[in-house]
Amino acid sequence: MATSVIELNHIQKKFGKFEALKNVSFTLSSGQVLGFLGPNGAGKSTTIRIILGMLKKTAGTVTVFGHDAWRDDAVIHPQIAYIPGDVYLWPNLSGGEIIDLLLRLNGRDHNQKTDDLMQRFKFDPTKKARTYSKGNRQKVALIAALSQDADLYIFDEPTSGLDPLNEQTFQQEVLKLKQAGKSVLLSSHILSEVERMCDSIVIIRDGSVIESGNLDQMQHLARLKVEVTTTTANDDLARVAGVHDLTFAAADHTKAVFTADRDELSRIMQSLATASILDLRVSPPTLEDLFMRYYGKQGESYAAE
Amino acid sequence: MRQNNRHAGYLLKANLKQNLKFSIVWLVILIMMILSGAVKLEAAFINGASGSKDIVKMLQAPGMAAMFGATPKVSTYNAAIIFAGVMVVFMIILQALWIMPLMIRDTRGQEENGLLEMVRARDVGRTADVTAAFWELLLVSFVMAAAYFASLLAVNMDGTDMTGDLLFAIAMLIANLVFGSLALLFAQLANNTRTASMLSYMLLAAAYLIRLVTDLNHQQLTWLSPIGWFEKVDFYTKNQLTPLLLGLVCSILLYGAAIAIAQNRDLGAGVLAEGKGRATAASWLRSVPALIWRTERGLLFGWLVGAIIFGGVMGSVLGGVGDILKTNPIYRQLLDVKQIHAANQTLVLSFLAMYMGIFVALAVTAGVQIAFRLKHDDQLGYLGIIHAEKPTRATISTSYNCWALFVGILVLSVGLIALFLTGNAVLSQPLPLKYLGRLFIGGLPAVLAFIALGIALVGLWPKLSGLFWLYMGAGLIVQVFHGLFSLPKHAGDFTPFGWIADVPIKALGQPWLAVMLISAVCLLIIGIVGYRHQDLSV
Repeated sequence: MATSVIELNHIQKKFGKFEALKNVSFTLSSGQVLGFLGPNGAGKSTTIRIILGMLKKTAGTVTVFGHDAWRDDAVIHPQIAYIPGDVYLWPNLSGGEIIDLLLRLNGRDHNQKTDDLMQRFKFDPTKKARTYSKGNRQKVALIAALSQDADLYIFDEPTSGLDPLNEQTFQQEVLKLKQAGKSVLLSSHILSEVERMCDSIVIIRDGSVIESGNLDQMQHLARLKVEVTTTTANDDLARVAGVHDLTFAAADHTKAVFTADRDELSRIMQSLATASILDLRVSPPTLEDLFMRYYGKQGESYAAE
Repeated sequence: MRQNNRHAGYLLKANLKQNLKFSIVWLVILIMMILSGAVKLEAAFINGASGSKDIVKMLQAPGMAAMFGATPKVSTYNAAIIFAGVMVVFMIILQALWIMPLMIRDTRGQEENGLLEMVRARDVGRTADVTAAFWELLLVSFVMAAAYFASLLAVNMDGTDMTGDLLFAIAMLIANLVFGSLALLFAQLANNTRTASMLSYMLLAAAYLIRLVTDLNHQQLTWLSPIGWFEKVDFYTKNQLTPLLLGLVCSILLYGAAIAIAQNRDLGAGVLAEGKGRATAASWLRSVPALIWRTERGLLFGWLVGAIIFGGVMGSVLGGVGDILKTNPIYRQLLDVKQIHAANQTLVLSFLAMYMGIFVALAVTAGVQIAFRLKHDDQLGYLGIIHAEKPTRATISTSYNCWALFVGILVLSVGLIALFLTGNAVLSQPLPLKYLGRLFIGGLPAVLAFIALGIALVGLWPKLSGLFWLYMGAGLIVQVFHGLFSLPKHAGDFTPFGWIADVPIKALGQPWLAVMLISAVCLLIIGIVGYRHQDLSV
């Protein structure tokens, strides 16, 4: 079994009376690329800051490389490369200076990889940080993080300011890390990014983890999306167990769109067959569907089921 | 013009709301100063001729004249004349410390943090921020002046009249306009708040120093300093209007210049050019202390140059101070040469004792500024990426704190040495080296204890760190005014300023030395440990 790199157990975090994290548990195993999803304000960045020992948890345990994240930050940090969601830089230093400094503080140095990355991201290191756009500030953190040979990479919405080309470059770099067997925690809103790169995902909402696991498994467990056209009206569908979110596209109720529980598929098909099927499309849920379901208002009821 | 200012009214409302707490705290402090000054002086003058004579004599001593401004020469003094003589320079400085950051925050500050970009994309004029800031300046200064006027009327000091009170209030309003519009201009010239603030404070310090030197020796040259203009009004005696007009015209010109720049420049840019940066970091930039040197060295140089100039200027006036025969020719008949020398030296030493507090305060301000950068850099998120790296919080806070202590020591040392060297160059009987020793032994522990207090606050309660300035300011003010307002001898003993009050006339007592050094060490440790346990405000 792979050793766990990050282990969070029932993490709770209160800021005064406000409970930012209620119950967050998940594990990142060695060599795994874990997607960390959730709506704005769900507690993603708070969780990451607890992992980095910048915030003190109220309850629970966090270990990174088997060490306590708060107490042993000195042991943990040299092995970590981190990109914050919002990168703020000393306005008076140039990008090149900051990249070098960040590398040196972790005991590394400006290397060939640094120059390559600067070229690939088309980054001008001579400008003062004051003049950088959000994307360029993000590149500073990206280049410093990716040109460091770390064991664990933590990315907090790393591409939110990048253009699609740079985004692609970033994804290629992460895939390289994956091939090299590095562990990555990636918090992101870009689902295609997560779908392409991550083995498993954790979804957090209102400070609690509401779903976690292997992406394939989750897609398997989730409902299928069904679009069906029949010759006669399909009114019975509403009464069939396992049919959800039913809407009719045509006034005569011959076109239906709904989601279906996999366990009830045969019963649903029987019901559909009585109305004689003209056209049928069944699609597995995309991460986007999962995401919408968990994020939206339905999330609560869905998670409760 | 109108087009460029559209919707400035909305910005004004937003700014007033945003700055409400800051301005109210300052207004309360300022009005308290005016009230307590007026009440104390009135009381001294009512108590009879002896008290009032002492105060007049005290004010005519060179040290006081240097600190507060030259007292007008009239045949009979009353509370009102002395009040104006003491308060004008002092109040202008305090007000500038409130108004200048306020103006910079409203304009360049909002531009720097991106707020202005969002606002300007709406239907808001190009110069609306500058105009809104100026309106705020007018508004808060008017409130302040009205409160001054009401306070003065209420206390009704001996020798005041409605005209004089009104003129004083209006003059203080105009002083705000001068320094406020100056800050507005600097905020347009520089492309960041730090440079703008630095330029503003430098000009304020220069204005103070120019009037200090000229008040002592060439009073007709005091006109060179904007602060000097307001001394020249001669409140409650001549009530001159020309200086006020000068101030008004000057602020309109400065404001006009700020508007003209704002109309024509790119968003985010300034007039002072910004050079290109390095492609790679210098080889020494490989630790947190090195990073602090890299980011704060400009500030440090500014402080050092300031300390040298201040020390040099204060030293150069010692010659005039230590000339007892000039102040009182009768002494020549009463004292022999040796006694005159001794008396001269006592004069110089008491002058130094008075200014020791100012030297310490300057060094503390320089040091605490660096200590507070830790909180500042955390809040702005600069340290976010550093915290995820190898340096621990202890390393990071220790680096900031040691720099803070070092800068304090450096600024004090450089200032005192400059003072001593220039002083001995102009004094006919140079001061023995032991007095420099006393200045150091008194000043350094005080600076360390003060800065360590700031460090402890940042570590334990970063949100309350503003209270530090209140504590230090109150300590300094009580110490400086303590003789004038006949406060109890130990009234100033709630801060180190009181403990070192007699240095260098006497050497600092061992107990206080121990108290300051031990508390400095303890507070430093508290600060570092406290920071270790903070939730970082990223």
